[in-house]
Amino acid sequence: MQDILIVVIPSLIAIVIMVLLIKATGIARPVLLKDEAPVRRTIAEHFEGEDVERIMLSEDGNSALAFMKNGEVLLVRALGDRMAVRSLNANVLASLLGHENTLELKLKDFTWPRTRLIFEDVTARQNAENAISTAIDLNSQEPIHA
Amino acid sequence: MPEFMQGTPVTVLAAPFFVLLILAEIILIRVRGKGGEYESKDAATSVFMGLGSSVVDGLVGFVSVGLLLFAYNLAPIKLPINWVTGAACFLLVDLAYYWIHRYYHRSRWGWAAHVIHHSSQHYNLTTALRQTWTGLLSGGVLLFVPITLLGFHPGLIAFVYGLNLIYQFWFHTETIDQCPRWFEAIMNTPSHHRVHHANNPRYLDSNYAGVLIIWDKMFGTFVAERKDDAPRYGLVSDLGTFNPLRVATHEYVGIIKDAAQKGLTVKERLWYIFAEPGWCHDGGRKSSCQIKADYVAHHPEHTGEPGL
Repeated sequence: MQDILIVVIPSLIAIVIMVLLIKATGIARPVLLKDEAPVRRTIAEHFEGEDVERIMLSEDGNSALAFMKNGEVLLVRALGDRMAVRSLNANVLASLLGHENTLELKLKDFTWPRTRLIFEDVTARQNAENAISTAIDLNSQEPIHA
Repeated sequence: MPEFMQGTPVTVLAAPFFVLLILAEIILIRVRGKGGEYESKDAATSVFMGLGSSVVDGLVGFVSVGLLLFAYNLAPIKLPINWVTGAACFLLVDLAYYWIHRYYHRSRWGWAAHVIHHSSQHYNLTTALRQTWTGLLSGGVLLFVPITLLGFHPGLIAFVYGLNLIYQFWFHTETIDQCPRWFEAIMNTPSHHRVHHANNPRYLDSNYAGVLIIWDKMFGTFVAERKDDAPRYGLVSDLGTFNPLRVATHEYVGIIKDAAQKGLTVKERLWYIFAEPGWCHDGGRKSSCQIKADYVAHHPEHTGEPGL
């Protein structure tokens, strides 16, 4: 037990010092999805050869939806100074819940937290919700709306 | 066995130097304004994963040691521990590491343990510490058994393996571009290992070496870094979380979900556990071979280049 503490305590102190130093030096730049350009770049890297039709950014800058020309819908999430992307289909999406101007998506992916997209107004939210529902072809799968 | 090979593992003894080098790298990036990137949550997750790995090794490491001691007792000859056998053991352990590492990337069961190390979208010294908590489950230690059967003491194997891992720490960086040509030709370097961590199609499943890059050149898995295809780090499908518990276990959860699907044959269930990562019974996902094939289909001008 003492051996383990000798490893654990200094390691935790090291983590704190490292995080403080990263913040103090300002080298980390958390990404905020307020602009389509970085989202398009990330999608181009992950889905080469597939064209984006339109992008809907969440008002809080934490996530975005990308509607591809081939009918695919991508969910993009800010993760520190990077992004993570998932293609939404009925095997991936666990639930889709719209309320006023927010749309909450829960994925079956173990590493993906519940994602809340905030839109300008209810109409924008409904448009996004309908587009997702259409794209993933709900008729052929179990109901997704929670 | 010499006293210096007993007690605290060399990797634990090296930990303070790891921390100092990480802090130095952060300052260097700040001063130069280039040569790598850090993100606080990502870096904290990486170091925390390393901490967890050390704790798990401390708790269950006796299983691996016991297995190797059992095999060593079956060895017809017992080699002495000296500089010559130490050097030979280092070479053999590095060769075994190459194959263990290759297995980690080519079988989903091994990948489930090793994916942790590749789960960061950054490539800096903290990435080196982002280590598995489930290495014992992977069964990789079995590839060290032949070395003990040759008569090398498990304590010597553990010692040189520790040195091997310490060597691997320094090349997890973007602050060093290229090393001297003779060094790049023989040794694993930041450039070679950046390729290994990249998810660009041409770089997938390459450069498995620990210390000597010659193994990749011998076994056909070497791919050189290219300026016109800068490495992008992380997984083909990046994780959506920094939660260490989820990072450590997500691939096992995926295996269970996939293998437990209704309507699969026994062979398909086994394939979900042991086939290459990305294997899928209905073609819904892509393995690295398929990703490379897709890339070549889009870029036929690159056909036949290393890694494609």
